[in-house]
Amino acid sequence: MQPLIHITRLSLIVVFLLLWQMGASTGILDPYFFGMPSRIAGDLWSMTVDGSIFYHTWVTLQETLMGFLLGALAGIILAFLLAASPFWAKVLDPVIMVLYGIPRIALAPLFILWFGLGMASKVVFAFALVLFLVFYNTLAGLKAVDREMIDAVKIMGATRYQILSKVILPFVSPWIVASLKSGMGMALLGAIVGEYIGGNAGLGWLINHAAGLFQTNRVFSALVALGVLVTVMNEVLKMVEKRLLKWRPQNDRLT
Amino acid sequence: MIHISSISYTYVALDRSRIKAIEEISLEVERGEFVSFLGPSGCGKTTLIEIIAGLKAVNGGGSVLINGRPVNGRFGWAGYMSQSDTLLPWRTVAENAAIGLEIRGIPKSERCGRIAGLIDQVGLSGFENKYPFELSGGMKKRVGLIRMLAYEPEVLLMDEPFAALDAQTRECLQHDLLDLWKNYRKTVLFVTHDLVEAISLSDRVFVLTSRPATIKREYRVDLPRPRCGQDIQFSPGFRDLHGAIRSSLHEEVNAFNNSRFKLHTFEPHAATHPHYQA
Repeated sequence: MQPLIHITRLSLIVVFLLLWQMGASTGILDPYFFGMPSRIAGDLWSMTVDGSIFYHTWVTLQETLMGFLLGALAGIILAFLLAASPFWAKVLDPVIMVLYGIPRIALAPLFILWFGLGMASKVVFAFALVLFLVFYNTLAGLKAVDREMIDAVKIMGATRYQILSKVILPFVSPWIVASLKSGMGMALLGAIVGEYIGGNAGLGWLINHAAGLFQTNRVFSALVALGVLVTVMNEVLKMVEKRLLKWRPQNDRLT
Repeated sequence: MIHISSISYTYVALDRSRIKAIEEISLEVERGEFVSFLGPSGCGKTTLIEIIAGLKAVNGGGSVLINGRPVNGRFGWAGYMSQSDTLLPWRTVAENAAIGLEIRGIPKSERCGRIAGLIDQVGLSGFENKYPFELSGGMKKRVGLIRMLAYEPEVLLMDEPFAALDAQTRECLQHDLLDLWKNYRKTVLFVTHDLVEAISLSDRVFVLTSRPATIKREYRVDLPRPRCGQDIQFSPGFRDLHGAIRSSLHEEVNAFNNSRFKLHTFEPHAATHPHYQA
């Protein structure tokens, strides 16, 4: 089964690229707007040789990872704090709701204004996207914590810290992992959109810049790099999930 | 060793009405004794065991003393098992069984040694590294049993622990429990609504009234031990006791059902219901 799946997938991609190449070289698809696979490959090669594709990918990756890690950490901590303090949860609930409700893209120009054209503004933007996602997911997990599991270890004499580390944290881990998976995509979105709106490096900037100059093939080169980046990040997350959630039945795993 | 003196408990329901769950329960349990609480479902048995465990504080007066010391806020002296399965799903059988020792800060190498014998006694050898989702209902309960015994608490508090199991599995587990109890001689407080279970396990059976729960009567079970499930049930002593406790319990079940119908003003609707039979 497995080899057949690989072969079929590969053939589909090859056929698609061949059709595209043929369409572009016969003029059915205008290469000016649609690019051409052979030229995209050539462009990618030249960017590999001069290292610029690595530079831009690295910039975007750093922005994404920093925004992701900080946002996820802040979201988890905020959720635990508010779950522990009903008073502050009630005070802050509408505030968080409004911040969450505002389309964060509307805030991007402000972030650029405050944090400049460099990487900081993109990190902050990615952070703002990831924070709420992880926060709400973690909170939902905390609300679902099984009271009886806590009672069971409490009767054994567990301290507050032991209850937190041995019951609550593992209990919410599936919720957190699920939000991390979509959060990674959100962080990348934040970084790319941030680069669109104002920047001087990164794959988002590269795409925007090339499109402005009608360098269609360059746009596709950047998209290929983005595709590779996303694939690698997802694989890493899948490995983390597998390690963390090996105690769950296979079909129950959040995919 | 356990002194319960006239405890009462009232809880506030969602609609803010006050419901008295327990009224003036007093009893004493000797070290190493196995006692059962038998009562209609919903009578406050669980509340009683939660108060003894220290999970709920009495709010209507009275006190619970273990070895002369009040329980409130003090944990670690009791083992607890409820109807639902509270194994931690992210821990293997061995890790679940050892959690009580882990909480006490006993090093890992020693933990393994101390649970190995218990795992073997309940027939779970070879399953040490399985996760709860890979186990049957009966096996999970066995893990619950040894988890409770592993850290050697003085008292075992059991709240209908086997209620969710099928009849055969339940009998096996009752047998396991009696075996373990014989070896470790723990004091056991066992809540159940199953008459046969109460008689075949206990030294004394307390029949509770329907809400609010009070002790209606106490029965001493003087049947010889060891008691093996099937055999004991056919002895004359068992039959007599069974008959006596059953009629006592039945009054309470009926009383409970009557009060419930009144509470929900069920009759007018029932009379017009197509399936209603007078």
